[in-house]
Amino acid sequence: MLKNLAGTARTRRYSRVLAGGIATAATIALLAGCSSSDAAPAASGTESALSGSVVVADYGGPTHDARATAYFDGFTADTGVTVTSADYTDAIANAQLDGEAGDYDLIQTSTDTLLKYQDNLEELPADVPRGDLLPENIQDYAAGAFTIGITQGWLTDTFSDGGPKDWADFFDTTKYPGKRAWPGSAGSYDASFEIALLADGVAPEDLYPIDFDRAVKKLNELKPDMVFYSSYPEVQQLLSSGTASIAVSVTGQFTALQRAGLDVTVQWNEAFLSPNFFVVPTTSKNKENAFALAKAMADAENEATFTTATHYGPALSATFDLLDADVVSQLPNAPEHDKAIQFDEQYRADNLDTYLDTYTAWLAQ
Amino acid sequence: MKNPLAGVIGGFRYPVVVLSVAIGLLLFVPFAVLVATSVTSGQLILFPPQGFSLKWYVSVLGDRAWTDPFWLSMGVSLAATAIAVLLGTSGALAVHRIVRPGVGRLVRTLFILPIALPPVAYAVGLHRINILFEGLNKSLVVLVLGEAIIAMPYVFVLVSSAMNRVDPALRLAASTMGASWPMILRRVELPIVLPTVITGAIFAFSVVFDEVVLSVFLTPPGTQTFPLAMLSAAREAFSPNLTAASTMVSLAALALLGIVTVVGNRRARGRRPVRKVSST
Amino acid sequence: MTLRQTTEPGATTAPGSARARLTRFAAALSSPSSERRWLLWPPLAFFAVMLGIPMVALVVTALSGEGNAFAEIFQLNVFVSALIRTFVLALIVTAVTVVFGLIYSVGLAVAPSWLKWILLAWLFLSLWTSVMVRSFGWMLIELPLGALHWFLSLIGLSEVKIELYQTTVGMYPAMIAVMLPFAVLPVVAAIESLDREQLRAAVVYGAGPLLAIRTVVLPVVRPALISGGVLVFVMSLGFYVTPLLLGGPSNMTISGLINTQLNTANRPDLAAAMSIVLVAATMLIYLVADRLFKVSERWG
Repeated sequence: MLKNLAGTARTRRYSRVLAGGIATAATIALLAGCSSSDAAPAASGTESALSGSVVVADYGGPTHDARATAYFDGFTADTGVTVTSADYTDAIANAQLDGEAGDYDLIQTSTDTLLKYQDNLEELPADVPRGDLLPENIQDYAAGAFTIGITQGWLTDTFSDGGPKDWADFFDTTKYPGKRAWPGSAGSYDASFEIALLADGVAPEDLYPIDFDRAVKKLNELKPDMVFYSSYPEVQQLLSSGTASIAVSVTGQFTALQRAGLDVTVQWNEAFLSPNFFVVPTTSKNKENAFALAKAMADAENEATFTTATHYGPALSATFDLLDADVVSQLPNAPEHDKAIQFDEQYRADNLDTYLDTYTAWLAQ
Repeated sequence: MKNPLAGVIGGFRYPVVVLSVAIGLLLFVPFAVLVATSVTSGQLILFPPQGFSLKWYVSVLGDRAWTDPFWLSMGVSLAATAIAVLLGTSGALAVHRIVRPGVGRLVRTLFILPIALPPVAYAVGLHRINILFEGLNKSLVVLVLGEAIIAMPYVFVLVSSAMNRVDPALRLAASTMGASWPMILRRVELPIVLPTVITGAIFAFSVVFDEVVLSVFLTPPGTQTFPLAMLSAAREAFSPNLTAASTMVSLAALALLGIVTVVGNRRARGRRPVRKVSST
Repeated sequence: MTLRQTTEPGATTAPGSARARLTRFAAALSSPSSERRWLLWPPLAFFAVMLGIPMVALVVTALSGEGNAFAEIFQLNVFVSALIRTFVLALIVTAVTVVFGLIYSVGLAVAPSWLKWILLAWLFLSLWTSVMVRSFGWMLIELPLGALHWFLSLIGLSEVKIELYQTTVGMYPAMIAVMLPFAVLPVVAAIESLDREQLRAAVVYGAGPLLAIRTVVLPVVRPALISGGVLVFVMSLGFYVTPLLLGGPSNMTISGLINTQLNTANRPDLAAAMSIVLVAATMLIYLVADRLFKVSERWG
């Protein structure tokens, strides 16, 4: 009884304070709005019709630096539009992909996400060259694309016979002893189920629809020999410290180890290819700038600079002509890596929940 | 000056000290390992480090991608700590004046709620305020206020426990002598809780300085706080930059604290213990 | 002399004592409502705005999903087990941290002064290093060929196999180390305030260490221990990166699950519902503990 009384009194007080708070916040917002519009930089001196800025959400790091050098710096010099880098935040990006408001103009994402949220994305204007190496159904939306690989890699001197040839070898711990570095964060199930099925003898063309039970059973076999990483860069520590003998990871991590002076072998056979790119959400506030940047990124010469720096695969076939042969051999989508496998991205988009829940449950057990 | 506690615990003194050092190794060893990795001449964070070089320190100090976030974080943390200390202390003093225990309990619960709330859930909520009021998202207002909320419990909890040491008779005595409550607050209660307020402020500052989730959501695109700079540096690769930057922050904070303590001790020397001041 | 402040006149120890009567008298004499208003309303107003709006947003998010988010999360086995796991983890961390913290703060008080400075410096160095980076430091220690192995090799024990990394045992030292400053510093402040005369009197009159600790030291230190313990427990519920990194994915905590729902699944309604349940469970446990152990009253 007493509690009830206290409860209602509290609620009433709460709503009053809430109202007051909103009013205060509105005032602050008004003030902040005024000052920020004053501070906005004036249009550039060039003849370009564009001005202002464009907010690009990516994952930072060396890839971002390469992107800035290859694309952004020249773009800003040409158009006067500043490129603002935002640290990719899933919840903000997801809200925008869902069609809600947000600050991002270009969001880094992958194919399954694009397919899932296509309705809330802007189609690129006709004058933006399409990435002809990309799957056709995403070409109209994907800007600044680059193809990453998900595959196994190891320090070359770990195995004298050249190392595992395929995923069946990867699961064979007598032939290739040592721990396997494996993605351990629930959200990054990556190619886990596909890899397990290939190791279990499923042919690449029969992977889909995924037999999750079978995949989990196969994964359980290897689980005692796995060491998990909760973020990709840990792969570098796990391999270089000798904790793991082989790692499954995005190929950028192997490239980083090579850059640090280590001799790393990457197995391209049965590697999974995953195009990553930027999309423009319909709620972008600087669409014209975003499209202009998309155009600047769809330039073979710029892309060659980016590709040489990152060893991620290009989206324009013309770029291959501009690359050195030793760079080409490192690229996930190099013509010589013809045993690489494409995900069924539509299936992955449609079954995202099953992937995630199954993987979470498997990790937690 | 030896703490009289040493006399009291007598023969237990040595085992306790030895145990403390052992426990202290939990704090020190990881730090030492991190420092070791930061002076490597290699490209990776590895232990034992390869070679010796201070190049990572030079690279951090010369890189505005590290120094700008550092100063931004200093500003945000100072502002948030100031608010947290003011309101947290005020709340702790007030909760002692609440007569009904049920109300007191609820207020206490409310004051620790911000730590119980998962930062990401709180940040999403705050982010909504930013979206709701166009323009706020270009400022750091919501970030500072949000961090202040997260920091406030530390001040509140500590000060509230210190209020225990305030003899209620003192307040009564002062008020019968005609002192107004703000004066009692200033002359009687605050001097006693002050050391704890400082501890609370240190916690608050360190928590805010290291807080990354709110930063991720609430800093305007293109600006970074220090932990955000660390996070984004750690997203693709763990470079020794990371451990060099963190080592420098820790050492700088320690040095600052040392200076404050030494200066504080010098000023306090000759003064009688605080408790005596309150009885004059 | 220290005396416990009675928040509620005559409710705690010795209700009939002269001191308690005096306090009740004082409460009747002064009118505390104005000072209470001035002290309590600013923080409460601040809470209402900065905590109230996000909380309302959270509830709205939880309810705006397609189905009943609360029903859905309790059907998730991973959620329930993660919730239980998180609370057990927090309990273990709190218990060990409070004991260690008490030892450490007494050690700080009685150590020779050079050592005292070192112990203090360790405490602050740790406090000022980012938790993410510190967890990473522990990883480097615990890896099979990491720093611990390196040290053991130095003293001729290179044969010892280290199996710490990504085990449940391996994650606790790191979490305890993260929490230790929060248990130590409040107690240090309390020990500093110990009445020196009283301590000396205890020694002079021949009270043994245990008696002196129980009657003189503990009453002063207890509120600080409790407040430190409350902080540590509630903070420990938020552990995410450290157990995942050092304990392995089978030690997934509730925060980890919330992040996954928000980031990968894009189910903000589930994440919000989980957060609300976590907060509610925390508050419930706190209130029950308060009833059972009189946390508030002992706390201050």
